[in-house]
Amino acid sequence: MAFNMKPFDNSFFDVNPSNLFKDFGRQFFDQFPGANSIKTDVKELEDAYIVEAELPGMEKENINLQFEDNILTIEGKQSFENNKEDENGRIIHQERSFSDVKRQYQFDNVDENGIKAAYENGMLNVTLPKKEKKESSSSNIQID
Amino acid sequence: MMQNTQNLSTDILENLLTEHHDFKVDVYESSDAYQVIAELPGYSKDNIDIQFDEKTLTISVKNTSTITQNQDNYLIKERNSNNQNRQFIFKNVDEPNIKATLNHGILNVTLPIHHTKKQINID
Repeated sequence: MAFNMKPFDNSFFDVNPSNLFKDFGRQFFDQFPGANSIKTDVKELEDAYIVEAELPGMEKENINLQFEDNILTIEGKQSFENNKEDENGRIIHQERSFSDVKRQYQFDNVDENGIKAAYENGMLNVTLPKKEKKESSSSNIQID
Repeated sequence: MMQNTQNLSTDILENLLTEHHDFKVDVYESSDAYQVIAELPGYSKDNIDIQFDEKTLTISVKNTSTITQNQDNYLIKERNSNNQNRQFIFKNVDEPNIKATLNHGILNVTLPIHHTKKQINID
């Protein structure tokens, strides 16, 4: 068929423009806010909050957990070991990101000293116990 | 994850509208093996099923805790709680020697390449 022949039989016209922008898509998406945030489930129980954050492939030492002013901050730094794979050979498909991650969550009414955290199977589980409710001083107001 | 701009408009829409993507995977090829690295945080060895049939590698995970999840009060719920499943095609794999390890929620499957190139001589 005529329209399948290469014009002028020149390989210049064979170039697929999307090959020039191969990395463009990935870089474009990495800028999207929230695209790279730590996936988390946060449950509220009667006496505590449970935070389950996905942090696969990190070393415990590289995970930073802080609680200040009612804000819980989870920060994870990637160790360079992950980049070793790049030198091993060709990348056929790459979806994982190798950047550092950080995310903050707000929790009111938390007993800071009772916060516990564990890192297992690539999951960071944080338990934030709620402060005991003070006796609510509701009093009847007499109407004169 | 987008690799090129061929279908930019549909890729962007799909990325923004889909609520749950399946687990992320990297695939590398070296001279003697393929490496498949999957992010599966929160799963133990028993919940992950890996199969290799003909040329297809299938990695699937079953979610075991769906019962409790419906009763709990969630403030944020982002983790994918469905059963997930991904497949990849690899040619020339030395099947009996496929190895897999799970560490810190990262599943690493190594598929050694069995070179079948034969040199045919002309008599």
